[in-house]
Amino acid sequence: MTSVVSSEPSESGSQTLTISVGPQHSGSGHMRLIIEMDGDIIIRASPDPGYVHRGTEKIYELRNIIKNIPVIERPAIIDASNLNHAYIRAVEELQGIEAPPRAQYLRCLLNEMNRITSHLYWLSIFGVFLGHTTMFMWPLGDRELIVDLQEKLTGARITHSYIVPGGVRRDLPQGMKEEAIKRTQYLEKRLEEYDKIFFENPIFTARAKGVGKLSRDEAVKLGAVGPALRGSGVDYDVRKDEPYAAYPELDFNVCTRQEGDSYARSMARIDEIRESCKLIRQIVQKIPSGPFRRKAPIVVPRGESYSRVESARGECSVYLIGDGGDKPYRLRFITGSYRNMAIIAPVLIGGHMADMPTAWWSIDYWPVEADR
Amino acid sequence: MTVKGSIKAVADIWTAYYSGLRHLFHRSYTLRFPEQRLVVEKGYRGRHLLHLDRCTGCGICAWICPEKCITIVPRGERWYPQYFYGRCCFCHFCTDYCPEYALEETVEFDLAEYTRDRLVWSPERLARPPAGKNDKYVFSVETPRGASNIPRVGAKPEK
Amino acid sequence: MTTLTNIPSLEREDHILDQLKEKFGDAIKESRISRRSRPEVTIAMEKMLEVSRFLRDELGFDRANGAGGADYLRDQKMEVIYHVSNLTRKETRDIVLSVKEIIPRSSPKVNSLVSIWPSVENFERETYEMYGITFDGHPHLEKLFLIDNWDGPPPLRKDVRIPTD
Repeated sequence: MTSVVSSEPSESGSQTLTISVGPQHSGSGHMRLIIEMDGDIIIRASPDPGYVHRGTEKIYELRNIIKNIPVIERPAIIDASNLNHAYIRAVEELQGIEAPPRAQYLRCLLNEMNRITSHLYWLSIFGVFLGHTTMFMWPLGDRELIVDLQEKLTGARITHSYIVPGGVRRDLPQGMKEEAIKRTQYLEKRLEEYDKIFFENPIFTARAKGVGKLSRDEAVKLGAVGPALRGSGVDYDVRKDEPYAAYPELDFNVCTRQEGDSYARSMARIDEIRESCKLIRQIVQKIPSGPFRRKAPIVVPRGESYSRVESARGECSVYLIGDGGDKPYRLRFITGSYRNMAIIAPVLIGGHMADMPTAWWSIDYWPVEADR
Repeated sequence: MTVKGSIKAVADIWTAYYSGLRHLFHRSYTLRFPEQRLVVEKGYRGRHLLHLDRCTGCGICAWICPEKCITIVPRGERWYPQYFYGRCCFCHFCTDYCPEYALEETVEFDLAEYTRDRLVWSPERLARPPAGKNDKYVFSVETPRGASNIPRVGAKPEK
Repeated sequence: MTTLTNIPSLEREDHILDQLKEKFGDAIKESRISRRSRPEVTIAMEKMLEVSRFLRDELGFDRANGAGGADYLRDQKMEVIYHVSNLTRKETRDIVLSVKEIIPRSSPKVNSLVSIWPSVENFERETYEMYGITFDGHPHLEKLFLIDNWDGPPPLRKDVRIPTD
């Protein structure tokens, strides 16, 4: 819970109050936010991460590249395959192999499913922290539609370990195509209901519009990524700007909003769910036949590679240095949330304490993914 | 707020209430778990099934295991893997990398035990075929009242 | 599908590296292109601030994608690597330039680039705690992830061994 840390008069004579939100997850995630308030206005906010830091960058250096796959996924288990994809692309670039086209499509299929589940998970938490319990139940329930599909495809519900060097581990199961089309269409219908009950609800719009402003220049300067950046009007998406896997052959839009407030960031995500539904249908219809896995050695050749993908929370990049052994010599892993840590303070400062949950959760900062 | 704005706000709130209330007649998403069980399809990465006749005890499964949950134990002349499910992350890389196809994934997922040593599965226990449970519900979006779990076609009736 | 099979032209990458070499000459110690849209330069430590300012103002690399360290125990050196990219010009958004500086392992001290790219603030803090590299001119160089009373060696250095079972 929040607790009073100190209350002391500032130089100007007015009293400021420093409170600490978290780290026992009272709405901050597994991290602490030190907030200084003047009356009800936040005048200083500094994130204090590290409560779920597990030193994964050291662990990666001690395990071979296959054993690293489950560890790579752990920082964001609801968005596991996107992080995994970034890592595998870095490894493949060093090994000089490329997955067959069918594998590229299957990777994109799982990536898009993960994007949907991650955004729905965020939406449920966002809903419950705004006091809208229905919005907690519905997205978590509808997430089951996609999680069930993921289970059919990969054999696991969340941590898939599906993408491996040289391709993917399983082929598309029978009946998946029809099921995926049916379920994404159903999800799109549900999203219209979400609009009615939540996003067009005057109680929500009054709390979200104009709250937690982040200007375009500031978002670019501070290195915001993902929907937090696209909500500020920058049409930056790695899938479009540096297309990887099967994305050059797929047709989709980058969802941007101009306002830069909490509402814009939220709606950018909802638009992305719609785009992902379309992408899933496209992928299962366009998928080429052929092999889905190619032989790949368990070795990291000498050299360096840098790969990046668009994960659900933004650009996720892996910088890999190999020394010819079976383990990475150095693996620098920068996730979307880690980069969005820089925009926490500018989003919160100047707002009311009561607006803090809206502004904070609209960034979709995932402490585990940031701490790694 | 203008008059027009207030009217719109009232209308939008009523829309929100209405779309919520409609779901009073929606079927439930959840199941009462131990009694009602979801069908887990073949291909699910549950516990391992060990084919004792095929296993050569080469130890590749123990080498590739990311969590180091596999130990190779002797049984007479031969060696077999033994799993500690307290550490297993069910990635099934062991199944993938087994050169003799001696490991297989099963749909059995409820492996909770009261003590830690019961989580150690000996080769003999791993060789047992998975116990049949009365799984009968499947997730479907085609029911008239929204997505929910419905009994599978041809499932046995509840006792 | 992408990059590896079809041999693309590397004009844009060459152009960037040529401009850098022309302007700074000896300060550019090494430069190469690992693949399409991945140029890479190694810069003398002292010139880092100047080169970065040039990269930002003249070549349009307006944001840093990340920064990190690497420890080469055998060569007794460490590296700080910045990955910078461009967001304003749409046609060059795919280029990620690695900017490296090599520092001696005995006195790990470099100039902070927070004044050039504000987004590297957290990354430099992490590099400081994980590698023990001090960044001069960083606004608050404190521990980021490690606990405040951590008194062990910087954990990501190669001579720190953690027990594996």
